Amino acid sequence: MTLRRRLLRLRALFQQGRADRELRSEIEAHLELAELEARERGLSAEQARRQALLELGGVERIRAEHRETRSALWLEHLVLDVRYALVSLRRTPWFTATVVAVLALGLGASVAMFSVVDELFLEALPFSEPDRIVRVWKVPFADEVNVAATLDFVDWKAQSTSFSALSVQKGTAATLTGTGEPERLKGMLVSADYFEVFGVDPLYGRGLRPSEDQSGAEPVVLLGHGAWRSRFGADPEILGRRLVLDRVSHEVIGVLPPGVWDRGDVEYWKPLVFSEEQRTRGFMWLEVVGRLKPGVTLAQAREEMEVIDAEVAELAPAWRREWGVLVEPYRDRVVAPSSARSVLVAFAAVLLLLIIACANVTNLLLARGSARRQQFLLRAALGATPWRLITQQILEVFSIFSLGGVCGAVVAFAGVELLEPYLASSLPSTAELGVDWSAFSFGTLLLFATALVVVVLLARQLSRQLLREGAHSRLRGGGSVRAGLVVAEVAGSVVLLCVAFLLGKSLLRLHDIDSGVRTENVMSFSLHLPLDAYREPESSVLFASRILEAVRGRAGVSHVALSTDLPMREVNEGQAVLPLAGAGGVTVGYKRVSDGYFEALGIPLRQGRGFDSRDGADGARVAVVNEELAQRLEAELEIEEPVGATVNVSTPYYVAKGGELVSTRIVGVLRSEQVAATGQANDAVIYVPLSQVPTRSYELLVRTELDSLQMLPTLRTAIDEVDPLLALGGVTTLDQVRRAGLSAPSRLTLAIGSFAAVAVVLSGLGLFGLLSYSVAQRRQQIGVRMALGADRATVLLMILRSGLRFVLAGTVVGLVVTGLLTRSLRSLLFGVSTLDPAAVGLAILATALVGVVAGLVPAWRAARLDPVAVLRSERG
Amino acid sequence: MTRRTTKADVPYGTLDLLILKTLDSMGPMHGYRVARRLEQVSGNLLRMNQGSVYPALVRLEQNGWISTSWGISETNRRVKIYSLTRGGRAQLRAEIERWRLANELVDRFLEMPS
Repeated sequence: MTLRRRLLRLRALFQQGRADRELRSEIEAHLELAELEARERGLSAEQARRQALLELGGVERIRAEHRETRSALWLEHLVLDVRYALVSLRRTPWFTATVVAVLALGLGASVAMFSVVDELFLEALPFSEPDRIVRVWKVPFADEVNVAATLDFVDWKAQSTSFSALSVQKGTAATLTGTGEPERLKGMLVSADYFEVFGVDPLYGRGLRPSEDQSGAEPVVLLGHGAWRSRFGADPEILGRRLVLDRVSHEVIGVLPPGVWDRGDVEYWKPLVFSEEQRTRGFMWLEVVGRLKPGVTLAQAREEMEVIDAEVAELAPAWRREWGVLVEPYRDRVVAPSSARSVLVAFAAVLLLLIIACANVTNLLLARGSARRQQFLLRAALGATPWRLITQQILEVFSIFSLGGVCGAVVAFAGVELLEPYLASSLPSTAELGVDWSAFSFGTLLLFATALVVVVLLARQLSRQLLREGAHSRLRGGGSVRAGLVVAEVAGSVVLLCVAFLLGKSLLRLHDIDSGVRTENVMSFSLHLPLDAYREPESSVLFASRILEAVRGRAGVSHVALSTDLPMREVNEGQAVLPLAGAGGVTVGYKRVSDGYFEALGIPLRQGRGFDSRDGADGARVAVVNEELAQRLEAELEIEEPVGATVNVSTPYYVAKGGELVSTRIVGVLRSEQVAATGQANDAVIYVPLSQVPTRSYELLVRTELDSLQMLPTLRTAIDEVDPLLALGGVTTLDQVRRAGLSAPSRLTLAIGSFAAVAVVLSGLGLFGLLSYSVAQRRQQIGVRMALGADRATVLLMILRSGLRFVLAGTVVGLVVTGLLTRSLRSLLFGVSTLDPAAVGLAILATALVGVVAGLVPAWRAARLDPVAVLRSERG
Repeated sequence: MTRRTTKADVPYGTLDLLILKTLDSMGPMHGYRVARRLEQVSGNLLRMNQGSVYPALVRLEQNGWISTSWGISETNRRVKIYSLTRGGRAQLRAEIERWRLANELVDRFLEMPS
């Protein structure tokens, strides 16, 4: 058939009416002429008419043939079939709604989750070619990395040829004045080619010029997008405006695009200009990032850097001459391994849910197919070809799957909208969270594949139905497929339930965990002393004692202390502890605290003492170590008795960058307080008195007798009285800090928990369907049993037992699978073994319960069968 | 006793050829005429209802081998007049050629001694 003909046939579909009319008039004309000729031959009018009709042939047949020839009728039939399919779907609204809901939930939830996973982990770096971005560290000891010194960076940059851009990255903060209250902003000090490392172009304005990180350059600053919007009201005239940071006027030269680095509170970027005194090799303070040149591999870059570093090793101070260098992908440290893991687990759970949903739908459709046996047999007897019947089934299946897919898209959108606020704080960037289209296509593909499988199974079922005469034969083959699907669903739900309960128990453990401090009713204020008012260390020490006194004096305050870091947060500063003589050393967290810190937080001493009035600026240099550090001192520096031992501690200067080794006596050992997110191991930390090593930024911790938030105004006044020009940073309570540390595990548990709940409901439905069908099939058998004397209870138990057999099979399979997942789960669980009996037992119990509930209705119906009626109706 | 002649049910292809040839020889005519002419020429060799000509005409028209226009019949009715197109003429020649070849082929085999 030519294309032209095909098109004309298609068009004819829409012109049926006109074509019919034309044909009719042609036929009438034909008949008239035939009549005329017949009359001329001598026939009577009536005979002529009859003769004409005879010669013409059957009018209806002509019209049918005409229509078939002129239009693409198969298409019209198809449209009719589709409409019939939709109508029959509408006739069983509950069934249709259930199937659509299952599909929508399965597809939507998995796509939403995947979109989030994608944002969180798989595409965590919104930079161009993120695999070319690397970090360069110094390596003091095996498995540890350290930041670099100024001249390290300078040498690397000057001599290396592996990088198209190499830059420093150092967090900083400054006080912004001139716009209302002085405020403390977090910023980032960078080299001029920093933005080339990440391939980021400013949204407005320009990036940094190469000369701008050299001495003598005019101070400039770039703003983050979030900061520009919230702090400067998205001022369209922001470029060229001058901001006063730490008393120096900076010109705003650019605004960064949204999404990039909007996390982490950094609001401004400015070039780092090395001063003369900063050009040392002894003070380690710089993070270095770079972009590999095209064509250079990571291995090549590593080799080159090792060579360069070895060459300049002699110039370094003795204590770090042995240090190595490491070049590693930037990506490796973006997402904490534990959250990467948990995200993968969530993704696996989602996939499992999707598979369970598909299995469920398959089961439901097969059940309906078998229930329609009578209808198919009747239609086949009336002349419908198997092809027509299966076509109708295919159309129904695809209609329902399409509907499910569309609803799934809606659920996916809604899901992402709902999840966004919960996950916003753990995303690396504020880029808009949206539905991931490749995930959606994957889900749709899976749905499509399932639809095909369903169609094949239905066809097989149909052919079986049509081959067997009579309405009573049991369809064995189909039954085992459906049974297998239900077992698989139950197994899947068991796995999800086990994981959910294990995570739940782990979360409870985390909540209970002793953070090593008493966190009730403790408030903290971030304080920062401006350099020009506190240029001498003594002024800082004086301030410290004054503020402690002022706050202590207020009613309702039980303890006050100062510390450079909040508990349950990572220690910002790192130093090294070295023996007085010999090699080796330990990198430690370095915390400066006022005396009274340990009492204020309820941290008990294991040995020795804390800090007191002896440990002033004139006293001997002392320190307190935590248990972790004590262990490491023993292991690595062979110091068996820490209390009384003297070690060298790298001690920073007050204002200038850098520090020196100071021999320090250890006077006490503490029980470790938690210095990391809940559940992570603690680091070795050394504590030194603020009076001996003063600084200008710290946290003021206040324990109150009553609810601390009520005391807020009083405390603010007290601080104001000591120094009204102080810029107050963040105010928080220790309870908030603690809760923040628990948020990640809570989220994961919540997510998996909800998946498990949905999965269990789905398998319950599947089991229910299967048992109902089985009961319907076995009515005769049940009838016979009852006639032979089985009572209702026996029948009920019989059905329930068969249902529980599936549950048992599914549970066993599910437990085996969970056992196999042991290794991947271990890193997520805290204080809970992977086959924890309580959690697993609960999961089994829940599944059994669902199994019983699902089986109850069919069992009840079976028990209420009237044996006489059943036997009578099944006859013939 | 008349010899019972076997009447043939006409396959599509041949019917097309007959109609095209008719229009070619007789010029444009309406459906009734075509049917009549087919009857006359084929005598009683052709068993076909007159009405079957209409689906065939539609097919030929869709293939572009005949074109239609409106005219008035002898009984003053509006009828479609069918005429051969250039493409139809070419198709006719092709069909005739095909028919001749087929015949020649079969003849050769029929000449074989039995």
